[in-house]
Amino acid sequence: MNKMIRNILTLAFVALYTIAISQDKDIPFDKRLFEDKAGFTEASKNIKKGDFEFFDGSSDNQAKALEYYLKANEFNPYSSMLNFKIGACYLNSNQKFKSLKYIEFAEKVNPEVDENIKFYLAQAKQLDGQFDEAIVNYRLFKDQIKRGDMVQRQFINKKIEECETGKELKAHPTRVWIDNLEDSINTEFPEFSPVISADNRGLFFTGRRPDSEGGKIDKTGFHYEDVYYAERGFGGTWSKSKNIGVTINSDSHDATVGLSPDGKSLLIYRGINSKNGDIFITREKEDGNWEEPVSIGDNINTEFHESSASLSFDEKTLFFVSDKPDGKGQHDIYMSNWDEETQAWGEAMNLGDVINTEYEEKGVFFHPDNRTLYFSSNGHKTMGGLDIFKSVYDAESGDWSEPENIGYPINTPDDDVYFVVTGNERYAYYSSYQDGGKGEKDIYIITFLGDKKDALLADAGLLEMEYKQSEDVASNNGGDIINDGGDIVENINIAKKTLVVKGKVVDGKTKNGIASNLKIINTKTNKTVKEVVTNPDGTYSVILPAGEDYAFTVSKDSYTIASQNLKTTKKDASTEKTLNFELFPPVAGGEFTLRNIYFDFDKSNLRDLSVNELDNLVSIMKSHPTMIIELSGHTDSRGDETYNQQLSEARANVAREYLIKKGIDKNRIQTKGYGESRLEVSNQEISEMKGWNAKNAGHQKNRRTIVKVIRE
Amino acid sequence: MFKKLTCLTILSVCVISSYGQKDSTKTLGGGDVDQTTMDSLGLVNPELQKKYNAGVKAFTAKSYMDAVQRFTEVILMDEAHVDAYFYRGQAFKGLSKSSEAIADFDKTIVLDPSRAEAAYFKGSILLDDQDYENAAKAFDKASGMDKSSEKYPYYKGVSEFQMGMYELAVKSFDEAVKRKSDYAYAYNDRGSAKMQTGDIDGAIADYKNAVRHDDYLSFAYNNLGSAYKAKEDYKSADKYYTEALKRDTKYHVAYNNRGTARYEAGKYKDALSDYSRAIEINPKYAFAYNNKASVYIQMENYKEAVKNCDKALEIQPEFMEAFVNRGIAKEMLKDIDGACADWQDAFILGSENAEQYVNGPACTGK
Repeated sequence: MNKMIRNILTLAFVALYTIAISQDKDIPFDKRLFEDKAGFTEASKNIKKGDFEFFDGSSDNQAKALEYYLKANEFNPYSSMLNFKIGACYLNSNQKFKSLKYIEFAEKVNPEVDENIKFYLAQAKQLDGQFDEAIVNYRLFKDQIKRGDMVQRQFINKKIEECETGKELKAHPTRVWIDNLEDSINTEFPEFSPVISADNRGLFFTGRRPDSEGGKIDKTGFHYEDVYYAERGFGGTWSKSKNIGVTINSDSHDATVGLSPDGKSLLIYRGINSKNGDIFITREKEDGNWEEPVSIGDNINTEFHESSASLSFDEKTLFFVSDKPDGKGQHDIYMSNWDEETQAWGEAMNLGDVINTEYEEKGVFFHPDNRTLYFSSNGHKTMGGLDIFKSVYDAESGDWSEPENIGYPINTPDDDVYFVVTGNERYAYYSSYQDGGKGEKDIYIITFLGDKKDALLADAGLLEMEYKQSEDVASNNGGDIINDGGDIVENINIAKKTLVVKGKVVDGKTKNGIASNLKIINTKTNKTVKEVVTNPDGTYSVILPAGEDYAFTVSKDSYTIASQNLKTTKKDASTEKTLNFELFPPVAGGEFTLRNIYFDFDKSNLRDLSVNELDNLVSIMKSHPTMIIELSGHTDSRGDETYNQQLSEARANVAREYLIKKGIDKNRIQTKGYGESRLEVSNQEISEMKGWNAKNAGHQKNRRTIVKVIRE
Repeated sequence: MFKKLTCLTILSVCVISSYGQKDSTKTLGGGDVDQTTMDSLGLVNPELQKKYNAGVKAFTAKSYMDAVQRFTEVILMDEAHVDAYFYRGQAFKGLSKSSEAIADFDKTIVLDPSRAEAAYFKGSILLDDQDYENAAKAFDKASGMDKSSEKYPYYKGVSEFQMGMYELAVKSFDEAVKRKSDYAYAYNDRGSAKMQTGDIDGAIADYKNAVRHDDYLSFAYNNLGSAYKAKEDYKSADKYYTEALKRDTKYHVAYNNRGTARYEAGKYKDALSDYSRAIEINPKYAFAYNNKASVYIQMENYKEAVKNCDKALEIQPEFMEAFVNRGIAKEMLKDIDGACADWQDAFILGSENAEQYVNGPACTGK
């Protein structure tokens, strides 16, 4: 090797060594150390401006300080003090995860940079999920605290507990996928506070986008909050999100806080500042527009901060968050029942010590299963900041279960809040600021994968084939009273697990969706459980307690009726069922099936719950005074053929008698019994069905009353 | 399927051959006297004897059609010729003419109620035809006719095992080992019956007796492995499967089973290697493909899991576990529709797990 090459390599080594050393060394902003005097002056100015904002203390100002500090840091990235300040600013921002590298560097090159550096480092480590190292630094910081300063010592103990919880939760992660919603929802601007209809079709959220109403920008540099919405098609794709419009959005902050499970009542937050805000409610009109939002009432809204709310599936109970002074501390969760007499929300009741703590409880969401309450808290067993918890109401005892942390990775050491779950418990939505997002806070969808599904081995031993045990299925509880820390709260239907039933009503000829009246009767109790008007496109979704049997009847002026029945078991809880309906105009030759005309078994006595369907028929016949119909009875194939024939005739006649009693001319109703001669589901098909339930449903389909229009 | 069936066939051929050889040497000379006179004199008609010997020769040469013809000629000449019925029955058996064979064995027993072998051969035909109930009856009869032979109660036990009557099978195998205390197959099969009754320790003792009496019984070592696996003693299971493989290096089932023990022990790479070896030996072995998929699921390599399930299902289109596993892998690849379709197929095939998945939020909550 010649001498020149040796010199070049030596120089290169020295240069690299110098860089390596400088990265481990504090280089303060001392003019003498920098040759670029102009650059130094500019950086110093930025530090001064940053300090001005930084020492003002508010998080908004710290965001501004951060901008200046980062500019100065470009000139000299090796100042311990500047790195410390940048780290501290990040810790106060919604990008806390960025703090670690700055704090860590500051502490490494200058452990004396700030008397609280161990605390800052511990926080940054905790946020990064380095719980063991965080604990070490919290303990070191605790050693600095005076023995008598119990408040401070207790605070650090809580932080250490959080780290222990973090270790535990991270070791047993919840099986989920967390995915950023597509571009149609998220943008480079902040999107947060998603609320979702139970059927996972309607999403409302808060956005701070340039198209906000009024176009104003607040001191954070973002536009004022507005409500946006998007719809999810049956193919699973979200429509482009839109500003919901002036009826709901004002030129101030308007934010989503809750949505009724059917997606038709939206709760919004309106407030001037974070210390005072109220809950408003707006309802979707039949034409798809929204009513003017109105305050949810004086029993809910106070001079204090009401920030979050959620409705039960029957909209008879409201859970909300307030920091009014009679609580357990900071924000607490309250509930109120709808008073039918006064047509207003009743007195608010604190949910009690099981749910509320001396710390924060926020972001309440009551699941459509009508018993599970999700909320965020930093008072329960959290891994840092606010974590999401769930508590299940036990209708028998009237107690809420001990809140359970819903686990990592949904919960993180940072604040996790505003979490909503779809009716089938398959998906949840929340907002988060994460690397790889579209920019600022984005809305994420969480897919729950449930317990791990065991792969099945095929054991080819000479002796056996082995199968894994099937997983347990959760059972349901019943009851209808809730006990809130000694105060009995009445009229709450928190009882059973529910399922989502959705579908579409269409014109049988054109196949276009049509708005129509849907009535659902519990056939066990003969009580109407739901009466809704389907959406203009014919779609609907309803939440119903699982384990009951239902009769669905759809009607609309100028159409005949359509009906179906649905038997559910407790195993159907948290699932979705689809029931679609076709409605036809009553034209001669046309026919429609009444599936909810019930007779006592083996008899021709009309059961009370058949009345609804027959009353619908009465009203159709009254609105078509010249209409003549044939009522035909059909049985299933079980039993003797002749007997079934006679039974079907008798049943058709009983239905006819009812119509006559209701004022329909007897000459307008002909009857016929077909017995088992016209099965809708053949015996062969039924025999091939798997399980008793399926077979029984097949027989049920065959038991029907058909109305044939003889003359319009 | 059970190794013991192979064993049965081997033993049958063995016994038939020995009878054939023994009786084909039974030749007598004679003159022109009628059969009754000859019988009363204890003499044999030379023409009949000639036909009979020709039948035995044809039978020994496995010319079963010819043998049937010769023995039929003998029977036409002497309708009480026990041996002719007996060997014609065996020739029919060789021609897979079960009902004709059984009729001849029945006739043999009528003519000679002490001929236990006839009941045994009848039982073996019924066993092959999977008429286990009647097979057990025939073997029981043979066992009663000849209380010294160990094979009759043994095959009675085999028949009972096949019917799922494991406790009765244990008793029959008890009788077999009582008659022959070093009967390795009987120990092995009693072990298998005990496994089915849940007596794993008893099974282990029997399998150990089996290999003590016959160290080359690779399937008994395999069963020992399976018994230890049932006790969740995967280390011992691994050891005995390895012993089985030392004795039979092409024993793909033992590779699969050892892979399963290793899988349960969390040794996924070793399991993968065993399943791959099983497939190398038997490329049509669907179980190993399915199990390989299970390993890939554990390793979170879902694409490979799907590929292996595809292969398993190509070989065995109604492979329930492979549908379940492919569904799991597809779900993790976010192909929810594909997963649900697979679970639906598994559900139709009877999988309870799949029923839950199909009715669970993944499939109902799209």
